[in-house]
Amino acid sequence: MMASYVSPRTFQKSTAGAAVTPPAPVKAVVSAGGSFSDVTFGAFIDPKGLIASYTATATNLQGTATISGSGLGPYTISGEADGESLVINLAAKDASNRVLGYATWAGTIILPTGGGSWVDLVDLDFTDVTTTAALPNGSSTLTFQSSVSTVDVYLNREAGYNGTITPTNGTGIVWTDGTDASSQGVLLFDVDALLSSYTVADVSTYQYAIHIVLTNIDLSAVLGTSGVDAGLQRGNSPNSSAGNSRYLRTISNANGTDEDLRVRSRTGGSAVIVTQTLRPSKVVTLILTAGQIVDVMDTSGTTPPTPAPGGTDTYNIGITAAALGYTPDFQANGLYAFASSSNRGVLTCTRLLVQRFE
Amino acid sequence: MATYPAPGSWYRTLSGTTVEAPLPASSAVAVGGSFGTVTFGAFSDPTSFIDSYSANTLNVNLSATVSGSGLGPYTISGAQDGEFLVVTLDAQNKSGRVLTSAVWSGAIEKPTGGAAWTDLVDFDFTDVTTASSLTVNASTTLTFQSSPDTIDVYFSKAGGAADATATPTNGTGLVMDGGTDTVSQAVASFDISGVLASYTYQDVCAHTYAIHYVLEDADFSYAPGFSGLIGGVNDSATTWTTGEARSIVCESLSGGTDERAYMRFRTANSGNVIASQTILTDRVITVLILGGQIVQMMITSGTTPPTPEPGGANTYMNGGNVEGYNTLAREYQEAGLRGFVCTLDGGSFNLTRILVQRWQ
Repeated sequence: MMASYVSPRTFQKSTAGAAVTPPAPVKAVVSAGGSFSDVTFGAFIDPKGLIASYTATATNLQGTATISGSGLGPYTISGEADGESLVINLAAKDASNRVLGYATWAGTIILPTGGGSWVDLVDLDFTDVTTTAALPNGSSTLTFQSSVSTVDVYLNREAGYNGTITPTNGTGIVWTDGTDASSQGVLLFDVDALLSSYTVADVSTYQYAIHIVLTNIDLSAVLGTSGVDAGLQRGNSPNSSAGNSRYLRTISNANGTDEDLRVRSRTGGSAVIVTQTLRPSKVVTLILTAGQIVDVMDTSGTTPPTPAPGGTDTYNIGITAAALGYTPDFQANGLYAFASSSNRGVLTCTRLLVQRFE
Repeated sequence: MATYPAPGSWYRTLSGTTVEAPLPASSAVAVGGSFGTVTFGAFSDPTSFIDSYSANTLNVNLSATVSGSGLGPYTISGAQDGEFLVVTLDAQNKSGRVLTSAVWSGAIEKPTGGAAWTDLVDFDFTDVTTASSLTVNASTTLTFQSSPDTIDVYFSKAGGAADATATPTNGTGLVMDGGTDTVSQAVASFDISGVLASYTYQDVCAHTYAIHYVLEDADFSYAPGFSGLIGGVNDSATTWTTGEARSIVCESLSGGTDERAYMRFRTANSGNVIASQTILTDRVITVLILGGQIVQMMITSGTTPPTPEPGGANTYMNGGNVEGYNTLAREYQEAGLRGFVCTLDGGSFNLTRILVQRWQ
């Protein structure tokens, strides 16, 4: 006698699709700086043994982490970083490679609270400047070959500077030394006019960094005397010798191989704070805090450094008093940055980069 | 009874394979964006076993909610930057059994490059251990009932204040009672730098600090026109009139209902920064220290510390002192940092919280 069984339809109604039940979705939230532990999925309920294989698929919603592993796991996650958001879907498949169900794992790594960074605001490439004749005294507007940018500059010949300052495409803004070894050729850049916003709240909230990239520096005309200056000045005082100028002065050492650094304001300043091998190229980074305090870094080469307020090689250029009810001095009247030949120093300015920490 | 062949031939064909979910889907959204509605793809269901759908939400990060039915569209509400959720759509048969599930996951990118005000220390003075009034001209270490935190406070009096007291009172705060001398101050000066994990020259050059004093139950009724309160910072000096003391003074007006505010550096006063406003029973005085040198101040009604607004419309520019060339010195770091609150001329209040934050 043939055994009796229920009809396939009856069986199907009672079992279709229900024979494999995946585990519930699982999440992992990791603190900033942490990493994911290996992921092992819980067992699928599969009383009839339909599952023949598993296939895991990673979806990177943020970040680029990768996974490796097989079956229910463990799966190792590699390359994750703060901010990572990753989903792993594990498909259980039958012998015909059809998906019976998905298990899901979702993990994220929290970003650190307060992840401020230095953000570029303005970046002027003076090797792209439009060539002109030597700049006249007073105001000029520089244009560029490959962009619509412009920058207003002001040339001040202090104490008889008789060299030239010439925007030269392909090279930069070129200073010649002239013949007067006790003078400065000061070119001031109108920085605040380049910024979309430069309010009291801006300068109180954000630190600004102004990087001035100088190349082809030659301080050999008068050893111990020739130099270059780079600094900040409030915007109503187009010079380096008055107002509230704050700058780094680099002067050749009499030995012909070194240079001496001083920080200065107007016509006064510090003693030598560093003696180092002559740098034919350097980045002078002025860090402006609260619109009131100026620190400076001197970096060899042409790559602007990450500003390091209070860092080991960051020098403070003195601080003026801020009276009750003050307005920030380097904001109230605007902001100049300047580069200068000092006492027959030769230089080329190739870049002006303005950043702020936000 | 009808007879059928043994299940072996069709068993594996039918079981669990007649309903198949669509492939998992996902959505990655840029910072500031939002999710569109979510509609799941059709399930493969040739024998029509699906009777209903049920959506479940797994909030991996933050707490968006999902509403909708069937295959969708599902609307995601309340999603913010950093949101990360997984929506699982269960296909169910008439018996409510889950046949299979579809999966959708979505994340809104976490913003990067965003400096923020980060809490460094947070003292709840309503949790302070009750003690008798602080000893005058001495440092006392305050302890707390629910935490191992401690903070050193130096209590002093200026101009008399013979019966002024400062009493740690659990459940209330540090009770500052100005007493009955109308030309005096009682000063509680806290060693703020002593409670910070790091407070170096580099720290203060790189970060702006905010110190919030939450002052409640202010009572300036003893001598209208004189009584008030003060909050400020100093270097290592424990007074409110020497060292690098910078403060904001809130003083009652003679009518007894209003107050004014002005700033002070040592013993020099500014003009009024607030000419007249109703006396604030509860307030937060926020002192900002920029570059370890420059001080700004805020006054906020209520007990919730505001988001600091350096240079903001209602932020008062107290000022800063001079420094020489190439010194590794900032006034509010070199010798330490103290924060103080004072009674003024018979004013009284309770200090309930000190929160220190920095911008990073």
